[in-house]
Amino acid sequence: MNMKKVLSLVLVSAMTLTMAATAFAEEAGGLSGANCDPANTAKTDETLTIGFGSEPSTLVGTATGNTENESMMIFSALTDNLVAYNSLTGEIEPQLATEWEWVDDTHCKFTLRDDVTMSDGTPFVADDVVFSVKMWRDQNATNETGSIFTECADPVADDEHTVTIEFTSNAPDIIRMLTWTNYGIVSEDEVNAAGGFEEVGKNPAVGSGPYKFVSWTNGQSVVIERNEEYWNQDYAGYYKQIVFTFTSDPAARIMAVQSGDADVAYAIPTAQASTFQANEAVKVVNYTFDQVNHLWFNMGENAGATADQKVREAIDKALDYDAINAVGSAGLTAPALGYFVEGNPNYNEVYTTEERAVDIEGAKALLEEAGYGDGLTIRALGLSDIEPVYVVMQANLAQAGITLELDIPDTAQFVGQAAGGDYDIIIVGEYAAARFPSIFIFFQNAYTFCIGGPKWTTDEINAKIHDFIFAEDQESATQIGKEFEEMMKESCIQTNLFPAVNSAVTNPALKGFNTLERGFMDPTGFYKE
Amino acid sequence: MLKYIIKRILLLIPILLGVSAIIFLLKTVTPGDPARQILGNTATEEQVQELREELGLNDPVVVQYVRYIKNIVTKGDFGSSYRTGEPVLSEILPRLGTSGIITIGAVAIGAIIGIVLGIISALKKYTWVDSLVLVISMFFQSVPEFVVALVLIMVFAVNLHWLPATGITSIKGFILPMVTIGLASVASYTRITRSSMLEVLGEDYIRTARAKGQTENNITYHHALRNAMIPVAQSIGTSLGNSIGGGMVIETVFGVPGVGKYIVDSITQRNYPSVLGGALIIAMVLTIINLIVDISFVLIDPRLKTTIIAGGAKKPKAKAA
Amino acid sequence: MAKMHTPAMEKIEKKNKRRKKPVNSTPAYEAWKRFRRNKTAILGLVVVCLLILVAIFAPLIAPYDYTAQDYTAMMQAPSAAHIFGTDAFGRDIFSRVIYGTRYSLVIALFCTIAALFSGGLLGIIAGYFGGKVDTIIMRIMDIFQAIPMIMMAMCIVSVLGNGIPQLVAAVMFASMPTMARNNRAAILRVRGSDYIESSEAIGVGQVQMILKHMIPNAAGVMIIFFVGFLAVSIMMMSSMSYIGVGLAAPTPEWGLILNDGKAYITSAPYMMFFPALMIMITCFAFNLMGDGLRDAFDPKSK
Repeated sequence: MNMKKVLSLVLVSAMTLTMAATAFAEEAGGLSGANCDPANTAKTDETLTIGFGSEPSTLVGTATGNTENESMMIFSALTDNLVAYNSLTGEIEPQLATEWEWVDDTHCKFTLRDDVTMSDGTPFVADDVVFSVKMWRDQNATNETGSIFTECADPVADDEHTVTIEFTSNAPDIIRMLTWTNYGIVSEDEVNAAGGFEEVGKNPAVGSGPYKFVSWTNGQSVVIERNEEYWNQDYAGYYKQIVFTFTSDPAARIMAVQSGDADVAYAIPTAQASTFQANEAVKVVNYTFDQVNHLWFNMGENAGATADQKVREAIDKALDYDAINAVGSAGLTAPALGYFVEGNPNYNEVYTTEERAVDIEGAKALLEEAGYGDGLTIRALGLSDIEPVYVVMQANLAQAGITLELDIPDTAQFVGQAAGGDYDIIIVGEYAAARFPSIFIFFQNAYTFCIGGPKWTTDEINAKIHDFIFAEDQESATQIGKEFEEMMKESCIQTNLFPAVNSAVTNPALKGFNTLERGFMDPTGFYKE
Repeated sequence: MLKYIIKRILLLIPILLGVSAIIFLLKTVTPGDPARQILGNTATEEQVQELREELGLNDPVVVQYVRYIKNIVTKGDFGSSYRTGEPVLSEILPRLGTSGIITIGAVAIGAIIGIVLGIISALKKYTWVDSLVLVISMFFQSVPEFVVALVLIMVFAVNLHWLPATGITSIKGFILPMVTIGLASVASYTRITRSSMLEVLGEDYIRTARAKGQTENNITYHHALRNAMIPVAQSIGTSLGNSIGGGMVIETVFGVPGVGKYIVDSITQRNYPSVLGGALIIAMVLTIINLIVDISFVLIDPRLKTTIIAGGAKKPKAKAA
Repeated sequence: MAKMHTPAMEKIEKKNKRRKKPVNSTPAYEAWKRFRRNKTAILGLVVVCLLILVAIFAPLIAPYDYTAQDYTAMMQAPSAAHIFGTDAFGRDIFSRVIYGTRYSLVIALFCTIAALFSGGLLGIIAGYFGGKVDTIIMRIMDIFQAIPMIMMAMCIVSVLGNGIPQLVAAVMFASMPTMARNNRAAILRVRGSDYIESSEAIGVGQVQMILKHMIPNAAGVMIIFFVGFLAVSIMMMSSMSYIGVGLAAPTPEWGLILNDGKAYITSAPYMMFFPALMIMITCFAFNLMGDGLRDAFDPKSK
């Protein structure tokens, strides 16, 4: 069992993907540190302190349709999912469900464990799954989480340990989506005890996960403690307590690690983290996670100049992708030539390096044609950890006569504005590890709460995406994906920047930096030797 | 005396009304539709209009202001955070204590260092010691507080590991923020102490004491110091405001969950009701504290009544320089 | 004033004789004499003059374009090519700091002038007219004063948005009460003097009175606060840039350069050191100068 745990902690996709880069990365001290330590089953009474940049507005995002990264990572420690993803084998494995089977095109029957206890001490039963699915569906009708259940009938508890769930489709990778943090199981009693959907986010005594919620001191910290009765002792936490603190300044977060106050400084801009490579007092962790950062042009209802293809192409030409990559990923990866990360089964190289070269004159000519010869101001919306990339773009675009205004709010505000299409350009990546039913989410009309993207689509695009998701085999999927990427390139809907790299700075003795989906850090896997 | 106190309390009312008017004016020029902010981007235009009507946002400004005041007075309603939906007052109250402790500590540190330096430079006037003191106190007035904060973190947390870099999970966490804010106010205390010491040392009764053959030490510490401290003590009361202001930046650097960080966080989150509601609460608390400080000085020494009244809300004018 | 014949005065007389044009012993000249004796104040003055020269000749001094990014030369420690090093975008920090002198000084000057024109004027009016006018103005200033200065400024900028005009407005409103109070005090002091009363008696107009008699005589005190406030506004600006409510990038204002560098404080401290040094030197110089001016114009306060 322990061996299995060891293996499952290694993200196979990350491995294959970074193999090529590793040789280069080794000397630069580059991409390393995540998902590479053997697991540990020991326990300690010590406390782990994790420094986050932003304080979430809720700790149970799916209760109110609000998903912030920090919230998801804390939530992941409190709850279990029906199924888990094994990165090495690429298999979906049992977690709260022991087995599952498709009954028909849209119904799947799950058999549940009978030895699990929820945070309030009651046993885990099928009704908890029924309640959770209804919560995902009803509270998240406009976002990704709810989309796979939208307009489906209530799940049915066949008996205490069997439940049948209806999905919108039987897309090949739909069950893999259930391994995401969003789909942590909570019980109705727990949510009611906390005071309902609005309140449970403030007092999340929920779930059957390896940790239990202790307290949330607003503006300061969230404390969780090890669930001593956790059903899966192989994955029990090493640390007795985990404290999440919130310090917006990344430099201050790093200093907290240097001074020994904190063990992990999460979400450090990669360029900033890489300046600590040679510092022995800390360890730098950089990793990619099946996500390319894309620059999306707003083409929707409230789009400005970017509704004009010439403007989009001008921006595309004026950008210096090497410089953006040098700042965005500290040169740890190469500028992306396709929508997917190199190594992803759906990867296609649709751009050549020559096409990505800077062409200021070309950009100016296009702007002239579009009627913006004497200048143009566009507004970029972004998160602070990607701000350096915007600063590079600002300088690039200035050469072509475009003034780029930066709008860098905090996470919660960003989510609201990005969902509402309140920007001209936005950098967001899509987690595209598999052909999830929500893939190419930025085009799918079902998601009114979609953070970024062009806010625009056509029937042709939607048909292509549908074909891609339901393609029978990988080969045809890759081919359809390529056709779709060509379409995007043709209309200049977005431009691929560089594979997203997450960085953190940790205590040098700390091991077990593991990631969940979307590169989220798993707070429960850490240990020391 | 009672008449004086009542008069001062009555004077408080127009000031508080005025402060709320300023904040209310800022509120009306705030970008974005509050109704849209509350409902989020997915709401329809009708829903927004409905909520605008419900919140009275379509009423004349004066009507809105009267309602604003009424809500504050009757319900303690300073607005609700866009982010959490909680009343600003209930979010800020628990933080007042934290900021209060830091402010008091900072004022104490600043005053002690400033008074000592001020006495030294008064006693050694026009010597190199005097100039050195001037340069030291002015140094801390000339470095941005957040730079001092970061340097202190570098030295005491990162290199020496004596104190935590951020957060106030232990008592030790309060030390660096207090010192940082305190150091910035050293210069003004030094200056006030010095000039008031020099003034007192030139007074007749000191000359008399000298003529009577008292020792210099006795004169300095028993006669001069006691009298010279009056203006210094008065300036301590009014410098609370500056310390709270300085605390805004410093609390953010040190991750201290005080009112300053609350406002700064709200500014970055563009949570305008929290920014303005918070500012109003802080201004009110400060005004009341200043009043209490003034009244307690008058109770201790009734002669001060004239100076305090005559000077209005007498700020030490040294602050600007 | 009857002429006295002290040794010091004789010395001055001699000196004046040596000059082609005899200098009258005006209050300003007396102040300048006192100021000149103050070594620290002269040091402040010299530094301020140097800074002004740097600001004027910034394009000649700066070796690089302050916005030019060079991703092949990112985060280089100080060297011959980049004497202050480069920042995270390969921009030359020296050039940015040099141009920053322009922005920081000019904006601080704007802020101070705006503060003097708003708060200062109110203070002068209040001090001159006294009575009800005084009471009303000063009570309004009390209201403004109830809100801590930097909090007021931040609230204003957060509501109005980033930008130079907004910043100036914010600092102006925030500093109005202090400015008004100081100028009122200066005017009140002059108002009590005999010649103002006699001018009033011979029927000099009120505006003329303020402009011709009151302001020049109160000028000394006003200059003290003017210089002191330059330092205060530079500090306020940098604090606000640090919080993110100052100016918008990539303006090379010192606070913003400092803010850019703060991410690298432990790994590349030079990025923060130089802009911080410039802020410090500038404020220090203004403060020293202000202190010297106080001694010079207002010897009683010493």
